[in-house]
Amino acid sequence: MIASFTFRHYIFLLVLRSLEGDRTPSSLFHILTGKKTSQTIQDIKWYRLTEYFRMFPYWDKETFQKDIDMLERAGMYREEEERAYLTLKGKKEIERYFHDYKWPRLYNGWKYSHAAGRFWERLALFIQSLSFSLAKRSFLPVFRDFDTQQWVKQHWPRQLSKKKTIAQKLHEELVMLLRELPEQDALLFTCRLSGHNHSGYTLQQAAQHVEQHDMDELYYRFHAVLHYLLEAGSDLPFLGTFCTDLLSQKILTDSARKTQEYLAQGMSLSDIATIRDLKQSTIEDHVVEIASEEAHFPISLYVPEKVQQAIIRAAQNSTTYRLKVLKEKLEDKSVDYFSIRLTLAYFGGTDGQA
Amino acid sequence: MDKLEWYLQKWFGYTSFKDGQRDIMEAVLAGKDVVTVLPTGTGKSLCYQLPALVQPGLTVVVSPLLSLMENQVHELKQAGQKRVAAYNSFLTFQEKHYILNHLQSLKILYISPESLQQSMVMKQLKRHHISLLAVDEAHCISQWGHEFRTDYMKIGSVRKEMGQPPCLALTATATADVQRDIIRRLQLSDPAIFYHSVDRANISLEVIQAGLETEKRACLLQEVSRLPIPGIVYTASRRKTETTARLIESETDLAAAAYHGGMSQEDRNLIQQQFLAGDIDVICCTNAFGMGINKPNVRFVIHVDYPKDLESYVQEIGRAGRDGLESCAILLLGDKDGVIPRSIIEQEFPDSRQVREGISFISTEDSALAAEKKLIEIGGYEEQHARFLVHYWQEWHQESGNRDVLEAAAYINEIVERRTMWKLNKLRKMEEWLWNESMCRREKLLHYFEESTGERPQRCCDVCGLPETLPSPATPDRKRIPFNWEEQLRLLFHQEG
Repeated sequence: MIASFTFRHYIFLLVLRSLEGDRTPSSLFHILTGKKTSQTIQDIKWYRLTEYFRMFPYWDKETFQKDIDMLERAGMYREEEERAYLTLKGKKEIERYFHDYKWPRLYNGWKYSHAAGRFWERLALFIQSLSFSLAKRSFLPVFRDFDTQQWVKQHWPRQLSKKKTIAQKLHEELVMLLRELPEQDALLFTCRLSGHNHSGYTLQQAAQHVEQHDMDELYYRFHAVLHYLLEAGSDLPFLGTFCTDLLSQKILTDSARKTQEYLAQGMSLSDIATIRDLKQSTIEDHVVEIASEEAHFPISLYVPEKVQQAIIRAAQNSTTYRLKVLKEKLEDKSVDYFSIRLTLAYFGGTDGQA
Repeated sequence: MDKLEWYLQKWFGYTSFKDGQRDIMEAVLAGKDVVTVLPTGTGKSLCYQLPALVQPGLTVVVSPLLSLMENQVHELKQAGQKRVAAYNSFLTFQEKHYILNHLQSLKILYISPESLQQSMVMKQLKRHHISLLAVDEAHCISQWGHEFRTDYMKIGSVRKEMGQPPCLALTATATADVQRDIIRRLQLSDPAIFYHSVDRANISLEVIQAGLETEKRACLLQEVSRLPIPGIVYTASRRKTETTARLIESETDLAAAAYHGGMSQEDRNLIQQQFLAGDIDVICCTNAFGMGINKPNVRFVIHVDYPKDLESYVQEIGRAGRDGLESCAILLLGDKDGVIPRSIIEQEFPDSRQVREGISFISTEDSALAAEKKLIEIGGYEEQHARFLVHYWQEWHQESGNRDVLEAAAYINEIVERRTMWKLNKLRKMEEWLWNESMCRREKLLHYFEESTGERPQRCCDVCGLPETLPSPATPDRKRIPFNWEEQLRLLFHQEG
């Protein structure tokens, strides 16, 4: 039975280890597929799971359900009152599986997954175009969508001498960065590039090339290379042009951004709810989301400093982040859930994460 | 060299016209309405592209296939012709806006039939001089064609709104009644008709009885190992393209890959690129592959599942041997193969429950677009079912002035039944052709298209007898990506070692 478990099952268990007993299985599903809701955003911040965000965006609900059923039958996972738990066997399995696992150099889904796809499209199309152009041959572009093509057009060197310089510099930068990676990861990345001397491999073909047949792991490793290049390449003169605008894009959901604009105009939460015709609780979700992203969020306007400290103390002395448990621990019974969530989001999000 | 030839060479790099191309272009340039029935691979698109560039004004090309549009636009752009664009529902609002506001700088606009019906589009088109309306895959306009699309029926009225520009209807296969339908629905006046035989003398036709699935697999492996490469293997399902590719990869020395509509655009582009470059010997695909792909040296087309009609079959095998060299079309016929095409036909139409529920769902909706959206997004209907329902609901409502759901459902169900029967009939013709063992396959195929047989090639079909004269397979000279990534990057960027 165990033989049929793959990388994504073990990652599921690994994430579960951090929040078992506190959350439902679908909370985990939302983290791993990268659903941007206030709840998920809070979860990954409180439990320090930003890295795992959107690890498997293609995972569908149906397969997910089948997967956890399978884990349950194998005695590694159980559910109680709709909450997800890891069994002792599950814990042992994780340790066995990840014991000497060579993690990639970097993966941070929260920080980079929104930029990785577009970054890859630009890089792959630009390199393909450059490679063929220097060989003076025509080609079928690997990416044909308007945005990526426009981007390449805008950054296209017209003169031959310029093309040669860029080829040389970009090559240098890539080699320098890829040398820092495990050999297999570098190979996985380069074999997917297309150019005048060969056509890039699909991920499935790459599996054979690097002899790594767990497709979920391969997907993860490939994206890990992209995340690494985004982080390490953003300061470099040539690779940097591929990422800077992508990285500066705000992470907030559109709706939260709108709420932020109203807040900046000095409106109260209930005013915003009325104007936007939304529930007050939705606006509160937005504020929590904003607080977790903005280091300079004026939290004391919403939660008095004393209350903030009481909440932090309660959280530190507790093994859980379940709101109900925390609320019961607070002496001041008038503190509401919103204050607790906001405080946790703000302080959970500012110590080095995201 | 005259003017046309000069342009041909300048823009397309050819030195001479293929059979018939010139006559068609001259008729088009003379402002006549034209119908052409040309097999794929004979340079159909050139028949409107060249006139479009020569004439003043804008040529509008209606094309149902997104990938085909994109390929053509891309090919033209590569050849240095930048004044082309493709307009379809997959563009963002900004892109659409950009195209519509720059029509005056375009020579050729590719457009999907549904986009052509939008008032925003028509408003802009009416402001410009349309020199030609080209309708690709024109058989889609006919209920008697094998790929009827309701949105094609409106092209006639759209044309009128444009001020009745000259019209060129193009199709690869059309029986006589389909041709008549095309002329009537597009309101062509005294059209010039160019008909090219569907017969491709350099493609041999062979049907191999393969019995059960296991025998079929063995037979497939034997054939792909025996034949010269590259080749295409058609299967009926996405899943099967993958299992078939894996089978060939593991059991032979050939490089095989799957291609189907469920793959990402990136993966499809890569596979296509590899096939064109010769890195892949055998491509295993659904009928999503082939349209607009121009690989002249395909040596064989093997069908593991048979298509639903002879029109599709002729189109698919026509991807072999475009270079004029000897090629093979082989169909592996199993005992239980009839089930798949029947279920494909069934799934093309909504069932009677879907018809009834769908109609009551949209009966208060006046806008066709809103009704379609409602069916797809809220009702969960498939796009083609939704379009079908809306079209006939409106037809019923307009003709009877009646909004009774049950009566409308009865009317539509009758159409579904009639269309299904018609398709099943076409399928039976396909099967008759397959199971026939006494009459020359080429002759029988030509009969179906109401053509008479010309001279029979030496390698004709399995009924006439196929001499084993094929050249032995060449050892593939494949470029593998090096296992040393630094070396690969150096090659990619043209850097010295």
